[in-house]
Amino acid sequence: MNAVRVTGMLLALGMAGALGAGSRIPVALGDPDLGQIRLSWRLAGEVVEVCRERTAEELERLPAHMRTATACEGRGTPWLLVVELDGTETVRRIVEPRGARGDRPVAVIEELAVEAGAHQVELRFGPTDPGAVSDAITYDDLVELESGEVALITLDREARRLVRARSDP
Amino acid sequence: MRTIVDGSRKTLRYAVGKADSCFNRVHGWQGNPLYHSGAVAVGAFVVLLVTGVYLLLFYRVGAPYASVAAISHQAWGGRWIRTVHRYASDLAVVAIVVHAVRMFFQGRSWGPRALAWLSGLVLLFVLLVSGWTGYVMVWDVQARLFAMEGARLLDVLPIFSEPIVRAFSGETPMPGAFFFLNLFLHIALPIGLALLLWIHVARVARPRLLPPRPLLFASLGLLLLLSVVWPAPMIPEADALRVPVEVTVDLFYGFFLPITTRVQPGWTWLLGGGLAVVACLVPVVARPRSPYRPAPSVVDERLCTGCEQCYLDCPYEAISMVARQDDRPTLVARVDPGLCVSCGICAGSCAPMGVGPPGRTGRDQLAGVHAFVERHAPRDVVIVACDRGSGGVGSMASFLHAPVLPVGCAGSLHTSVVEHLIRSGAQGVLVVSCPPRDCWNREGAIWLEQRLFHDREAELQARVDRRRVRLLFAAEHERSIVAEALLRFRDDVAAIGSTAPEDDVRIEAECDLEGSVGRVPSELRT
Repeated sequence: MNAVRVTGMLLALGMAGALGAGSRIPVALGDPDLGQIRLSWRLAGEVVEVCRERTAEELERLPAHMRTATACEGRGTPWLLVVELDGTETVRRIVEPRGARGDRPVAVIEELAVEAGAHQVELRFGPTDPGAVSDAITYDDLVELESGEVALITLDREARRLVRARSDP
Repeated sequence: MRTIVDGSRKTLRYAVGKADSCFNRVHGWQGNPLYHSGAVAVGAFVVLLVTGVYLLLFYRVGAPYASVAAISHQAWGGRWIRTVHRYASDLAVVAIVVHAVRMFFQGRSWGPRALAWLSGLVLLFVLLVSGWTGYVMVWDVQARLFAMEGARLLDVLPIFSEPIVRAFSGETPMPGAFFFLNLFLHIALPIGLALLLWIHVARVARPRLLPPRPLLFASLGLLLLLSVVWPAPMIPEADALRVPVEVTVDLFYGFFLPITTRVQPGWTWLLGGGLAVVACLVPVVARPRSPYRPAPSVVDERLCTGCEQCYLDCPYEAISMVARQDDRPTLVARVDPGLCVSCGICAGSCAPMGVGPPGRTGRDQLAGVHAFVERHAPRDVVIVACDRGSGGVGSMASFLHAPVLPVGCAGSLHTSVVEHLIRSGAQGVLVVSCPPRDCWNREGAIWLEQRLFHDREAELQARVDRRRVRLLFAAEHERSIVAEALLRFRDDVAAIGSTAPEDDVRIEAECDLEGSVGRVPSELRT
């Protein structure tokens, strides 16, 4: 076996090795000392409708089977999310209902990187529209977490209150 | 913009040319994988299909991670088949990128080749998405990262009623429907790849979809060896309630993750969209300015004998044979300018020299060789070299005291030029061409070799002593190979003895009389 052939084989093996190495590159994504408080829930929200009586001319223009006397336009009310972490306000933002007409549920997904240990989490999520009838939902508890752990705070739909999920479902 | 394109083309041409020389030296040009990058990608795709069918038998959407782990624990089958599947997908990406780079710097991305360029981009994108779905199917920490990034990107689009990323928050178990959708896409997208591949090669004649067998088997062997020696790892299962600190990522499919995980998804869209637009604009910006843009071939119908050789040789199916408008009984060649890339190969394939790009037909080449002979009065070996590869000799006036006659592509060389040189006193003609699989016009070197030595139509006439003609394949940076071959050839022709020059060699007139007698109008026989 001559030197050229050996070089060729080594080159081929080197390429194969590079392919294998490229297939498993470790990528650092976060600080290993941190944990995460994750807020995730979905709420049906509340649609506030504005209604008015149709005029006679409007009714005349409509097909006979669509002549309802009242015309209503509804839009989901925005909700305000406020999070205080160890007494410091960390998040304050308006959550708009999704969908092109803004009438889909409101959904929250928020990830907060925190030091491992215990943290007092106070959370309030309520409609901003003064005419809304829904009550705000709240969470106020001490959250303990280890480094690398995610504390998931989500909505218990039956009880309509925020709770910490304890394990990966 | 054009300056950037030209600069990057030169840089890439130099870098890839050096790599070509390295591979040629150790594997020979026949086994250089860089020359066969497109075919290697298709070969990898076939491996993916075969191994994918096996994996499909054992994969369960209800227990994705557990089923993949079970496959990996099949010591005699699943482990290495899964690994081959993975490495073949990586190889496909690498091969496509190399192929695209080669097409870019060789200027094979504009005009009629724009369809192949654009369909190639779509092929790469679909392959990446298909690979993405494949990795998500495993549902390990890498899979979750891929899924999260995909969801973050999709959530920017105002078309979903809820943020998709919430599906991965850990609030609810991952639904089996998600893995079924992934599985469906992972099967459906490769079917789309096959369709795209058909479009990709639609404008080339005789596409070579697989690499030569030695290279194919060597690649397969290496993939198998790598799979056995270094199997794909089973990294930990996805856990929504753990923050991934360090994730083992397949660089070929997750190359963007180190950036995209650190910026807002809007920036990712902007960056990705910008790159896509630049790639799609290559056919426009890589196109030469109009004064320098090579014109498509034209047919001189008075000279065309209807032999069909140009139609057979055209690597781009740009020539068709149609009925004549005059009273001659033969068909006549017709060039479709929309398909012609102006490679000039038809000029070399037309014995009566009736077709070719303006200024590069057989008759134009003979006019050029007349002037060359008058200038150099060659009594030594003459080099006829392609001006692209050929150790760079094609751009030189002479090489080791041998005068050089450059031709655009060696495949467009009319054999009468070689005959003319020898009959004019040259002791030998060394034709230097790019290696056949690296011909910028696909089949030029193959047809040239057959015309010179195997009597393919428009062949070198029998009266020419073949010992005085030699064909050499050399890549751009292989000048030493040309030098060695030239010295050896000089010795060989010296051993044959010298030949005396003929007076007033006029092959084009002879060609009219021999090749087209009775069919060429009399006014052209002068």
